[in-house]
Amino acid sequence: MDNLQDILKQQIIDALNLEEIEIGDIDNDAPLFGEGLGLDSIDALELIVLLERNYGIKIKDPALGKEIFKSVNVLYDYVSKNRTK
Amino acid sequence: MESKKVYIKAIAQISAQQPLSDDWFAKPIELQGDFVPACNPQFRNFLNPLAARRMTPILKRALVTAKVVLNGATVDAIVTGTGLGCATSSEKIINAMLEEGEAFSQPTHFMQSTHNTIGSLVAIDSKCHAYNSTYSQDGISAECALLDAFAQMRLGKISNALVGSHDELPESWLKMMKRGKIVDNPGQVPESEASVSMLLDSDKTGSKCEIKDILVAYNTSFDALLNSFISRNEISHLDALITGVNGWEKHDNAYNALFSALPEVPQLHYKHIFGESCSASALGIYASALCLKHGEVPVTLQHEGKTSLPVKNLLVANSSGSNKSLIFLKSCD
Repeated sequence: MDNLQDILKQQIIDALNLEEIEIGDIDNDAPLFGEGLGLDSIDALELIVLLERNYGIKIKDPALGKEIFKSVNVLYDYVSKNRTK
Repeated sequence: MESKKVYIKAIAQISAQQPLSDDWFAKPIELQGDFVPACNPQFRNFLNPLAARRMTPILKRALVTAKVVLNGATVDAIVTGTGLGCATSSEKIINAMLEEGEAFSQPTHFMQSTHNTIGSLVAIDSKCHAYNSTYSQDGISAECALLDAFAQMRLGKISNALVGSHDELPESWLKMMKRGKIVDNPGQVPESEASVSMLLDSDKTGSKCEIKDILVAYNTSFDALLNSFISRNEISHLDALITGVNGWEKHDNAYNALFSALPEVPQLHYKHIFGESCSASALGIYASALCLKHGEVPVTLQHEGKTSLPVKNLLVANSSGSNKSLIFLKSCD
């Protein structure tokens, strides 16, 4: 898997135990929280840990987290620009 | 003031046998090897997959057995026993800390790594926000939880309670137990996992059996407990003695005092059916309740002596290290 969007999707699936969902089920532009995947605030914490562990990105401002977890594409842009590893 | 009576209204198990089923009574699955994991039911039949995705198996098992026995009812208390607690989550948290430091601790595992996660989750799901307590006392955790609910019901403080005992066995624990040579000894039953929930009620209707008395004692022997227990319950005849014998001589020696004191009483075993775990004694209570409900004892439980039918009363004995428990159960007839 060399596409960062797909890698991110797989990491989200693994971190959040989305057993029923496959990479192809996640639309790059669909909202991750609320309607789309139906993620919640604990999932947001898991994603923050995921970004720090895998990409060296520390998110300290909750408002920023809300912004970058809007969709896989938004997350992909943010990770591409800010990753330190 | 006369004490209230306490009945086991409903009881359900997930173990090495068929889950949520009494099939083992006629056709038990034979256990082999040093470890037999619990046989899980189709969780999706009971739990919303999205809500259940964060739950480790022990939480799903506890929730499902609780749902089955509650069947939509609410209770005055939830009392839980667990020897190892949510060991899988604890293990993941500790391993992550060792490998990556505290910065990367996953919130879900952190939240679910405490022993009382189980009782809390059942309370949230059943919307029972009353008394909630968890006992962790190695292999007699189930009896400690049962005693709490039993005492409160006898005193009339509550009229029903959900009592559960739940344990899982992650691989690392099994490795440590092997290193300590407390598993896989000659003749010893396999280690396993257990989740048992029971609904206690002061109303007899439709109950499996009555709990007449419970004794839990620390750092003692059956010698010191048996006579006073028998006399305080005025027991003149016992249909059977069901013990937690697991086939390992060093462990089973503790029961010799009982066998000597009650030579005429038929002996029943259950750990060869369900395996050993910190919650195994809850399966002993479950098996006993079923025998009393049906008035019979399956051949597979009978070890020594022939049980007279119908079975009317049973003494359930458990030894965990230096800790002991005795439970006197009677049929509802």
